[in-house]
Amino acid sequence: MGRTYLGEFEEIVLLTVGILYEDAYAVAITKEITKQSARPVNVSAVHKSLYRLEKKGMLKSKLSDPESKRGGKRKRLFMITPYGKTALDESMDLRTKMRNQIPDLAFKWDIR
Amino acid sequence: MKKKVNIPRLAHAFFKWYCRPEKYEELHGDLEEFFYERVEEKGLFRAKLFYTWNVIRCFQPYAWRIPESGNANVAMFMNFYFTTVRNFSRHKRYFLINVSGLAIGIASFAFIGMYVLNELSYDQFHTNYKQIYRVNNDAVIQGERNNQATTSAPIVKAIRESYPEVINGTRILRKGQLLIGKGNTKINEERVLFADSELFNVFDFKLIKGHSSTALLNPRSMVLTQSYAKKYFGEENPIGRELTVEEDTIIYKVTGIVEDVPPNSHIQFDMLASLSSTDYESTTQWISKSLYAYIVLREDADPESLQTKMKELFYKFMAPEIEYYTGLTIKEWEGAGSSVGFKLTPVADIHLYSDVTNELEPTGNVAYVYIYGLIALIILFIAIFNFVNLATAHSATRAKEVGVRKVIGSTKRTLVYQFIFESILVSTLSTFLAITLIFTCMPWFTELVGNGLAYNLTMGYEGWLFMTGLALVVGLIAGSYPSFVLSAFKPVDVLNGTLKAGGKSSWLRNILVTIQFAASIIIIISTVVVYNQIEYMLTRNLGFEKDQVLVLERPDWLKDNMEVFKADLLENPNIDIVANSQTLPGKFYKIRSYRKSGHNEVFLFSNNQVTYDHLELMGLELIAGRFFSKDHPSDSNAVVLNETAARSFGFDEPIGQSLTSAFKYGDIKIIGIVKDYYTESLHKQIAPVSLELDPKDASGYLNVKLTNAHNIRETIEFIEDKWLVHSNGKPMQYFFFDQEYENLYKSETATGKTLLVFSMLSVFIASMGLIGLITYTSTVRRKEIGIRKVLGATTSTLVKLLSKEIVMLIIIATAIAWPLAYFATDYWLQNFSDTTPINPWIYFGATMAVLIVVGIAISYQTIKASTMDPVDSLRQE
Repeated sequence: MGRTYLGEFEEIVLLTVGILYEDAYAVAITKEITKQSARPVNVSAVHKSLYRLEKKGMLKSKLSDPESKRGGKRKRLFMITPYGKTALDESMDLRTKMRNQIPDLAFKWDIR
Repeated sequence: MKKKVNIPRLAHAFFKWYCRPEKYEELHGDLEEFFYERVEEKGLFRAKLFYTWNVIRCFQPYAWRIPESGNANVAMFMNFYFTTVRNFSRHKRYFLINVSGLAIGIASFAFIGMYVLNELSYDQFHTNYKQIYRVNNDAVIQGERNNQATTSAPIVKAIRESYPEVINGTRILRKGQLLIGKGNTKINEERVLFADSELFNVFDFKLIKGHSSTALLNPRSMVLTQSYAKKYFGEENPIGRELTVEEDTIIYKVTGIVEDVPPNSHIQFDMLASLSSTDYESTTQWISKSLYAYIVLREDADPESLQTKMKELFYKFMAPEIEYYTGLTIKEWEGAGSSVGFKLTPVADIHLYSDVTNELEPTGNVAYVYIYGLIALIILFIAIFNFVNLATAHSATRAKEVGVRKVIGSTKRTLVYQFIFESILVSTLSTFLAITLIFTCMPWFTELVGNGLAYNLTMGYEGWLFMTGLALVVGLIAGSYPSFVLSAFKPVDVLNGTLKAGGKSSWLRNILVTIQFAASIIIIISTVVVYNQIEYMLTRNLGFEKDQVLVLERPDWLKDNMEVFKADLLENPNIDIVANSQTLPGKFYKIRSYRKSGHNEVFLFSNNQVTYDHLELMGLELIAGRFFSKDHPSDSNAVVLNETAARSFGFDEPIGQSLTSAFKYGDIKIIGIVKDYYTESLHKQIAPVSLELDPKDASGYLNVKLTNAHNIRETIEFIEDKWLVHSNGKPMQYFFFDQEYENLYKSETATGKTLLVFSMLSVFIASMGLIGLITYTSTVRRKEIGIRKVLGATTSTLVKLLSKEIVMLIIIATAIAWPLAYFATDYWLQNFSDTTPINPWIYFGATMAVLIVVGIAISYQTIKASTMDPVDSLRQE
């Protein structure tokens, strides 16, 4: 599949799936992101990322039991795959690695 | 699972439609979960809004039924969609002009469409409307047609007994205003009709409560419309309750509730009383025409032959009465050029095609329906032309795209699809905008046309179907030409850069612009002519004074106190004259027949019964003899004629001649002649009028002439105080004569106002498109302007240069528009017997108006372009 590419929002969704662990479905993810990042997120954006991540193989999913609070419908629960973890780690590593390469001087604005 | 009911149905259906079935459960589950949470937190309304918003947001490829990229066609349309959106966001002004112009055009079209539909659908809501006919007398009296909507009272019974093809019939009586009381509250009701018990079987006025065959059977029964039941009884059950009519002792019982009458019915009422309460139910008199009669024919019956057969009824029933009253044999009477037949008018034709007087409701005019329809089409096409013009002018900006697409392998056909798809997208967006416009402007529009509307094109299944169809058709028409122009670009030219921007297809653009100018000029001219004519009719010398006259209705309620009341009024210095009259110009005149003493020839005059001061109050001009006077007790057998009436007898010296009349004993002396005055609207010729002294002094109207226009409110309060004392507390009803008279021109005034609004709109749309066009061409010619400036051209020469072509177009448009406008207005003016002369300046004015709008647009753009530093426009990065 070559280089894995992870969009910024996708990365956040992936992280949230991990955080929620056993209860990672669209509604909960939407709420979690809203809570953590304090930015308004629409459920359709989350849907889009979830399906795309699943297609890339970073997530897998299964259907839960029906629940009355959703009109007796089942929900799709998502879990991170090993490949998903690799992608997440790679992305994190890349960021930390690159962040560490910034010379301290670059942040010393008063010197210049 | 009662919760589930709350989900907005329409949004849910939309979701179900686009969502892939295997994903429906999980996706909709999410939406539902959010929805129920919102209901708890923010309430049902906000939750519904949020749900709908989510459904729209979820309208994305991942949820669609069709696979995301498997199908090449889908991918293609996705690409078209994105190209369109990007292109529009790059050219926002162009996009705005297009969408708003089309939206206004579509909204106007739909508005007028609703009006036209309403007019055309009159009385077609009755299930068997094709079999329902109104019977009215088709009378010619001495060569003059005298047709009214009413007919003889016993006719329905006679027809049903004589002709088996008539399966049912009903009669309606209008008595005018009636004082309806519930306990101590009394209200004067305009829209009360009397009808017999078959009404609900003939017509589809649906009873909500009560029985259709018996509700109006017994004397003193009354049926109320739903809203009137509410008005009088609130939420209580009105059945069996009592209402008084006119007198406290006359009590009617409510026997039914009927649905409110739809606006497209020529029979309008708020209350129905049983005809059996009146003596019309059983009268056997044929000669007076008092009732509206309707019959239902069997499906296979032939109305034409029935109409001919019905002449028998005349000989059998009416002829003896005529012989009795005129003293002539019916042969002699017919020999004098008179005849009476019966006419059947299909009920659905009454509103637009009936040409008889004394209709239940003011009728429409089919010519106006055509005019409105024409204006609707003109506005729509002006908006479509804008789109076509701008799209072709703008084609250069898309040329590179077309070139690249062709090089990559796009066929001409796909390109045509692409641009048509684009224009349909624009028209759909405009339609949505138009629908919101219609919603917000609806109350205002119904006020403008002065009528409720039975159809709303933004509501219900048919409405949405119509709007969708309209969006598609407009998109197709608007998109077809530009798409062919655009798709015809040759890649080599385009990519070489040899293609001249906006140069191609200018001939079509010129034609369209010319048509727009011509339409604008015609519309401006017509509007001004209509306005002039209305103004003329309202201010014209009608032969009588109508200003500062307060008219009190129902003076008969004063009974014996009439003279005391009148004397009381005259004590107020603000009151000049008080006089009674049975009718007034613009109101219904009864017809009376006269004969020269000793002659058989009959003359029919419009008759008014008046009191002594009528002449002075109305400001009529006496040209011979004298008016009625208290000094001449014999005036009760005298008559005053107008010139037309006096002339018709052919006397050398009319004053002092004696006449006879079927309505009076003995000879009647002509004592005076007044100058001709209009008794009807200016649509009609001046009628012969006879004035007689009102013996009872009580009927019709009590007219009060005020001395000045000040303190009117106080004067009215003064009159009302006196009225309440002398009428025993009956409510006072009054109107101002001049305002009431203006109502005669209600349909013209409404047409005038509607024309004005829509003509302004169409001119606005046209100029908007034009400004867009000019803006664009001047940006295209920016380099040229720069070079010319460098070479020494002044701003004024540049304005001249840029406007030369458009001024030419305006001149051509004027040449087309003037004769057409002349024919159109001339056709309309033929509706009137007396018309205002057409001022040629109106024509010049219309052309000037268009020139000025264009001039401003061109100068603004040119001055902007030419004051710019040529360096900026010529420099090339």
